[in-house]
Amino acid sequence: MKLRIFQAVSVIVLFLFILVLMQEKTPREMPLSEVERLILEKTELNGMTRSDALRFKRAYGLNAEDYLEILYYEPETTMDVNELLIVRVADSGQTETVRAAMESRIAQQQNNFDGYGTNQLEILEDALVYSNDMYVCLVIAGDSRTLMDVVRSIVEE
Amino acid sequence: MVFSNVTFLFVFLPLVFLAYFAVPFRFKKGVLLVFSLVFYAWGEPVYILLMLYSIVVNFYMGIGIERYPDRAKSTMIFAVALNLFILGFFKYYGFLIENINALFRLQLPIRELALPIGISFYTFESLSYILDVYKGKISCQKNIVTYASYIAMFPQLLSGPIVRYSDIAEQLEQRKIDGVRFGEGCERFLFGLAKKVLLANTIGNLFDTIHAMGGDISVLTAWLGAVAYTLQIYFDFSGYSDMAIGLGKMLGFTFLENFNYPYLSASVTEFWRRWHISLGAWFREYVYIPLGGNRVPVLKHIRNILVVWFLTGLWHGASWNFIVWGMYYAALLLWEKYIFKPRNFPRPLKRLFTMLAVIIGWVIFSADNLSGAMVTILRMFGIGASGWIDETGLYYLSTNWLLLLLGVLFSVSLGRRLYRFLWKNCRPVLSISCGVLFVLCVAYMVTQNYNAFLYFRF
Repeated sequence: MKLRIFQAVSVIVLFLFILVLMQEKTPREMPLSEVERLILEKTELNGMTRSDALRFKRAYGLNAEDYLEILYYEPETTMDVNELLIVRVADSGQTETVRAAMESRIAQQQNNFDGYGTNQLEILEDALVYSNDMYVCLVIAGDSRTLMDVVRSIVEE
Repeated sequence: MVFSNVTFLFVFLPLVFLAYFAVPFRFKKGVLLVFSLVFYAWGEPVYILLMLYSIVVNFYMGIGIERYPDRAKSTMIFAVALNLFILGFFKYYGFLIENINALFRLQLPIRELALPIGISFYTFESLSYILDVYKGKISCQKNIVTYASYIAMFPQLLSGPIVRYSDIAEQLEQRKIDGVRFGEGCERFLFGLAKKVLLANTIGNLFDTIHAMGGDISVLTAWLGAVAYTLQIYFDFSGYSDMAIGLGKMLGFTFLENFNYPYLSASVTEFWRRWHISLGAWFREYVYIPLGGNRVPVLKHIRNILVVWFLTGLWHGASWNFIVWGMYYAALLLWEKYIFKPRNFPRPLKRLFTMLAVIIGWVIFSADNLSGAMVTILRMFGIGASGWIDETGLYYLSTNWLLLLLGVLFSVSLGRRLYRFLWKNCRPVLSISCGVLFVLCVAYMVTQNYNAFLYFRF
């Protein structure tokens, strides 16, 4: 009898767990093509240009295919530092890795411009990283705060 | 958390050893369990609940099977069904709904749930435990800490080897922990780390670059990509297994080997005796033999092979290319068994044919989808490729030939021979080499941002 009760309880617990897990995922996950469209509607991305998975891998050492999606705008020229990166993560466990890669990229760029690129260093010092359960975002721009506010207003919808 | 990570190596592992060796033997399992749960929770704060659930349910089902013999069968069926449901739901739910939608033109909603890391491995371990208790091969474990430390043991939790309870039950109660074994374990761990960090990750960069090219590639570039992935997956997975076996040894456990130089195989049958040995053994023990194995009429044997390889493919992931990859091996094994037995061929030629089959298999395995796999395979044989040799291919060959050569040499037995030679003739050189290898690995780990293992996704 005890065994049967245990079995019934274990089935109920499992279904409750799955139910809670499904509920947790209710916030709308917007594809990055939509996020990009909305960003471009609201602001201009100066000093940066649309890039791809390969350049993302080179800059951040991460494989784009390990994530649901990436949106990467790289510096327009070698003397630019402006960047926008949004990674749509498969689970929150990936967030830490992406954030670490972003911090490492900022440090690497600071190192590259250290000693001669005063303007670039100022921009890099204002770089912002933000993450929630679904997206990890990096903004390096002349007015990082404004651009990050735009990004956040979209991904937090 | 992954083994090839500075935090693991310089924070987590020293803390584990400090606590593990400081406490008396009877508390070691508890220490191991606590650290294993921390290790898992590091990356899976939610799914640790699922693993704990699986541990508790399977533990009590094991007891139920033994304590109530009249209900043993129904309890076993319940436990197996529950384990398969968990695995099926978290791993294949999205894939199933996708296919139902495509087949019946429906629009059932798909919830993207993250795959709980290591679920395929710990579910198979739980299943083996339940089935072995049911068959009476082992007694059920009556201490939940012992059982939990077996399932959650961090060295083998995320990517195996799939350790069967029967292989480790005695060691959970009694094991030899000494300096010599610890040293051997360190050495094994270091070699695995070097395989992963120095070879798999570096060769993986070449594969990623070629994979990202997509369109216009020559035959040479297509082959370079395929060979790079063939080497990457071997060093990645066997490197993880070496690290797991090494860590186990440091903690006093002996895990069975998971790889035995698979790229030296002279047939596909031999390849699967040498590659992911613990998975092959699991399917043989719990699927193939119960279906009748090879002691059945030919048609039934063909069915058994097809079933086992369909499941092997499916186990690797919720995608059609994994299923096709499994069926591809089923076809090759049946071909070798019933149609073509090249007994008189010289062994090097047999090895060459086997490697060709294996490389094509990895193309199917690594592709994003089936059509991508087909396109790459055709390009490797000149169909749809932009020529046989082009500048891109030559560039990647000229800049990576040494790396690929080292990869080929270490994927056969060069590493082992070198080790034996140094061990016999020049131990100080061996010690210095190990030190240099460790420093190199750390240097690479510091600069490499991403270190996840390929088999984590399975």
